[in-house]
Amino acid sequence: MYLTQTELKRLINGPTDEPERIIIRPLLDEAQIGKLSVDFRLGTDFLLSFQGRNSAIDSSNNDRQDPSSSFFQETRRHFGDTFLFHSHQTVLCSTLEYIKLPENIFLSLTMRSSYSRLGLSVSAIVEPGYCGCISMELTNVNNNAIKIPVGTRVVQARFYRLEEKMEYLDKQRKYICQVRPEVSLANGDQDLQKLKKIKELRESV
Amino acid sequence: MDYLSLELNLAQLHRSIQKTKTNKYSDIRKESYQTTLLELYEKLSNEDFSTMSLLEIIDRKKIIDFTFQSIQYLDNSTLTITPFEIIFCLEKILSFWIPQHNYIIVTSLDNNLNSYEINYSLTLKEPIHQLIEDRYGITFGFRLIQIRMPRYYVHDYFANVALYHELGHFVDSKYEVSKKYVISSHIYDQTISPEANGAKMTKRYYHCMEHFADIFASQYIGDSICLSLNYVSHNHSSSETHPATAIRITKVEAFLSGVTTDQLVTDILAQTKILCSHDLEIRFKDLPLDDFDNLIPMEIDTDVDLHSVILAGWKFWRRRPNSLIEKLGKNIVYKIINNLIEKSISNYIIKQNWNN
Repeated sequence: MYLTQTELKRLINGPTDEPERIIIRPLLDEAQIGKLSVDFRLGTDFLLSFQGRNSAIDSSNNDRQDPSSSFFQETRRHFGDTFLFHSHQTVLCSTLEYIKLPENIFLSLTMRSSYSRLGLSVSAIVEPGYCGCISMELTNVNNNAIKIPVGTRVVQARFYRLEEKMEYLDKQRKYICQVRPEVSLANGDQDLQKLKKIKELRESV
Repeated sequence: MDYLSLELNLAQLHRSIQKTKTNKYSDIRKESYQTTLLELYEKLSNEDFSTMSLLEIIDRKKIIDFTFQSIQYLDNSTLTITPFEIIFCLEKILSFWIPQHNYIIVTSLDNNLNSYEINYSLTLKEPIHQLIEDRYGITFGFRLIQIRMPRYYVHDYFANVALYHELGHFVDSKYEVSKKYVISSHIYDQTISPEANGAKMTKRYYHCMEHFADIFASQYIGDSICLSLNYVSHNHSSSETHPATAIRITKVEAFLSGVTTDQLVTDILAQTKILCSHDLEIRFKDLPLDDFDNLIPMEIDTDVDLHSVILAGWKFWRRRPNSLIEKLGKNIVYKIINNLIEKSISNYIIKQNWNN
């Protein structure tokens, strides 16, 4: 079931013992809660991709390779300062807001229309029970750089209620309670070990 | 030192300036300091050292050292590098104890895990600023309070309680609390030499400074300063510069109890009231840990809560049994608590900006 403004306001502003409470901190402006979605703001921390000395990002579970941290550089801006999205550069950032979802509500994140039109894109699903700032991988596909002040409402989230609850922490999570963007931990996926062994077995025959 | 060595020193400074002069600081005070520093460097580099007297060469060496030191700390204090949230907390305290000041807290990150140190040689000592003004007519609008801290603890709010202690040293030096107390209370011992009397007074002075800084810190972060001391300097016995750790903890506990009969603590409190126009008093709250239990940052509404959230982090970590630690493991919970403390402080800053 898709949540609309009245229900969103009830769950966001509800009492602390509301079982389906959606936590958003800080919620600077009640107007962020729209008729169909909630707007989230651009956070203060960024990881910028750049070409390092390694030839490629290795996400194949190679123990001696750091898959991505050596390809990203950390930078920070004050709330209200401008961040420059260079053309065709991938930027990892996160929402200014820290959220916690109840165990039966998930959200889907998209750019606000005004920023899609500038050439920025994002797409993410946030699972029920998630807590932390939401990671965003923004790429500017425009041929021109785009300046955006930190704190701008750039993305919007649509919330969906599920019929059953899902515990977020019932298994080991790679990203939990993050407050700034973190590089990909793709090479930590369990099945990469299995794929590696399949390859080794084939090569040993 | 001769002029050739000085020219070498200036060339070294030139290289550092070239590397750092394009640094951008979002803090306009740091930008202003850097602009004045570049102006000073221009004046220095236009001089002919070969015609200078030894005294003038020594003066120039002091100015080059000053410039180097300023660059080192400024360069490490861009928003990306510096631990912005905890420095914000310290600046709040600084403004309370020293209203309308022109100090900037800057940091230099060090690889040594125990290297917490405050240096105010560029802050409180006037001669170098006077020298620069006399020689070149240049006045720095701001003074740097330099804090050296471990690189690996930038986002660690457990270890960084030590910064509250370091700030205590600065406030003490500014108002000369320990110095005046030790001088006024010193009883000359006729049975030992004047030198031994001097050494005894110096040791008392250093020890008093440490007690003041510990008590100062504990006003804001409670007994977490003792917990930190206990693992950083566990079982350290008394030295020329530091009292024994056990004694330091006893003094803080006496202060926190609110009804101390400890003479030294009572004297420090009385001396502070006279010299600083403020009382050393408990300025933290016992915040409920529900938000941390629910894995969300705390909603801070006052400056008191701002510092108390760090104490709450310590309490959360030490609470046993702790279902979160049992479920997620200590390494993950350590990271989560640091994140939640940082976000709690950061949200307070953002809300203040938004509402003002």
